[in-house]
Amino acid sequence: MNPPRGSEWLLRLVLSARDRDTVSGDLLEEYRETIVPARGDAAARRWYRRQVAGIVWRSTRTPIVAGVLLGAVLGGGILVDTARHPLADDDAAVMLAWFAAILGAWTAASAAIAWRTRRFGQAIAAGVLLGAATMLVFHVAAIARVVVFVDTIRARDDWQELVGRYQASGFHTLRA
Amino acid sequence: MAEHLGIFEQAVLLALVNPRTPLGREGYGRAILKEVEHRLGREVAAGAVYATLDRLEQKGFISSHLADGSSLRGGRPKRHYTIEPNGLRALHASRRAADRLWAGVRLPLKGVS
Repeated sequence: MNPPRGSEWLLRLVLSARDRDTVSGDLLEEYRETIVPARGDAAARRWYRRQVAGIVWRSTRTPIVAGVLLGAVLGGGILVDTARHPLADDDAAVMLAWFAAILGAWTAASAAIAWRTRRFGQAIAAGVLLGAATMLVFHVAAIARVVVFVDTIRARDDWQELVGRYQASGFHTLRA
Repeated sequence: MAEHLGIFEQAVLLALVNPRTPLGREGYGRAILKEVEHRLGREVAAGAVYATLDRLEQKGFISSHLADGSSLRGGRPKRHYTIEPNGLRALHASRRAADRLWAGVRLPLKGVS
């Protein structure tokens, strides 16, 4: 009478080392002693998955939401910047400032979590989630930027240089 | 000034003051979950209880220690929680605040059948 293996693996992955055995043990005890006898095997497995989903969401929602917001700000920034100056080349100093700001935000968030929880591993995990969410949203905005402004930015020097290098490469498709 | 506790935090702390669950006078996660469900009269997500326990422990309202686990839980240890004086003070303050809030109001309220 064991809970779904994948859910248990995920649960142990998101829990801190301090809580890994105690929390998974509590859920296993409840699953075996109460839920399976009362609801049957299939419903008990659904119950277990639901509990794990709740714990996973609670452990990850803050960095994910923060990452989505940060990605939206950065992505919105490049969309507005492209709308205002569609033919301006990327400025190295400005890009460096952007990267410094992003890395600073990730580091500050991780440091705040480490200070609050006193758990280094949790802070690293939160920083990774924050970074992944930021980059995901930022890349969606970058793709949207190309789709929306493609007719205009085709005249940009860096775009023409990119297309020129592609044509000179001998490849006939980007899938190669 | 004592910190204000939410309803859920109060339910978790009260579960440690006077547990009356089918699991007896136990103060580990699963027993607290059952006691909180009993007090709130609804099913509660385990994650909500563990997050609250974690927060209350960080605030110094409760403390915990590990104990051996049974074979039913795969031999995994239990974390037993104990309410601390700060937690008791916070509960007192919350009760007094609620009493002040409701002072002079007669139940049932008009319009409630």
